[in-house]
Amino acid sequence: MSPRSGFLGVLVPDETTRRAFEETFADWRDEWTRAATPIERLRVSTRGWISVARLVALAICAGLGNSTTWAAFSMTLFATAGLSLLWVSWDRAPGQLPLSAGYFAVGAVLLVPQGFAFLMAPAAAIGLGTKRGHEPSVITVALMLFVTMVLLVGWVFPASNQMYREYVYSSLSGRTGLLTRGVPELNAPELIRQVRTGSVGERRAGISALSNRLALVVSAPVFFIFGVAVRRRLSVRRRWGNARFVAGASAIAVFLTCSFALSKIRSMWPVLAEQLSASRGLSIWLSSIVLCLAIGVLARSSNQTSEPGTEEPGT
Amino acid sequence: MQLPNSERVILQLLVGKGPCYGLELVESSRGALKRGGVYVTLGRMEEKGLVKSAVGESGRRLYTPTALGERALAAAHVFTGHIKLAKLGAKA
Repeated sequence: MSPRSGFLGVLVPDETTRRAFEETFADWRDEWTRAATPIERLRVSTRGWISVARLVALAICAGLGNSTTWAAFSMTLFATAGLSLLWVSWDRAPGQLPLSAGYFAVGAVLLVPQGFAFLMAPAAAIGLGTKRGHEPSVITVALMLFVTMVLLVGWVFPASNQMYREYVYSSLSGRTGLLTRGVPELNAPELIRQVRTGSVGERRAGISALSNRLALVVSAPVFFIFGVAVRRRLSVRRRWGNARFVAGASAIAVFLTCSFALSKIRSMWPVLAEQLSASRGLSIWLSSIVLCLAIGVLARSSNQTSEPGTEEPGT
Repeated sequence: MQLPNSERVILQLLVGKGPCYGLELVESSRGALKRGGVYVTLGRMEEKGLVKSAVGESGRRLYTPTALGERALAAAHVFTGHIKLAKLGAKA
């Protein structure tokens, strides 16, 4: 079982679509071996990528018509909203600021997008809204999470952060006015512009912020796919609820371990502290890489376990 | 039975040429079938019982029409013929 087949098995649970992917890859391979000149190979590669892109689009469109896909996505959003409110309430308790409950409620709502950006990935790993035997289209949910995160960290989070700052400023000082925006309050196009045209310091800060935001965008689909792989592996012998709990808990454990390892490295080698700055989202990048490797291992082992029962007709 | 255009093209090719691989169907269809998408259609047709497949010596799937698939194609031809006749009758 190749790693590609393993990943396909996790991403595309539907047998028909999975076989279509396998056959398309086999066509690509056959044509590639037959191609004699570099031009022909280039043509074969182009055709291959177009075919795979078409198949991905078909799989995503089919997934959009699946109610379980929408249930999984909307339940992830609800869970993230709940977790965000809890986090915001705990992190920005009213005692910290001399604000009334009403002011606090408005502030909490403005901070929810911040919570969303950080908590979407762990909530996605739990896989709420999914049931045993009724799996969502993994590729579709992963894409929906990706797009949501792009919008969130690219535009919503910076805007709400700035609104929160101005709100607190006006509440505390009794004056209204526009505050100068910092790097976290710049939206994605502004951040890219800063990286391209800013001074050395601005460029460095912009790259760190972009890396951090990109890490958050990538982490949501990776955590979700990891959760699917764990649940599928465990659900054979464990209850569905337990499998979901283990998926979420292990994803969070990987993130905490990566953060701890990086902080240890920073404290042990102060020379590397600048390179391994936390503001670049390195813990999230590292945990996403570890989870990708784990997905590969889980997918291969689960496919190997199921191989004897899935013999091809005519072989 | 309603037969989508892509399924009809596949059945016509399979009945006309005999067992074919997916890529052969795409190449013979003159653009009516697309790479990648053809296997989704073939998979759907296999689920409906219109075609069957077996892994050949090359390790690739060889598709053949079933009796139901041939009957569906014939029925689709008759149906199209009726529509054409009805249209001619309306014009006359």
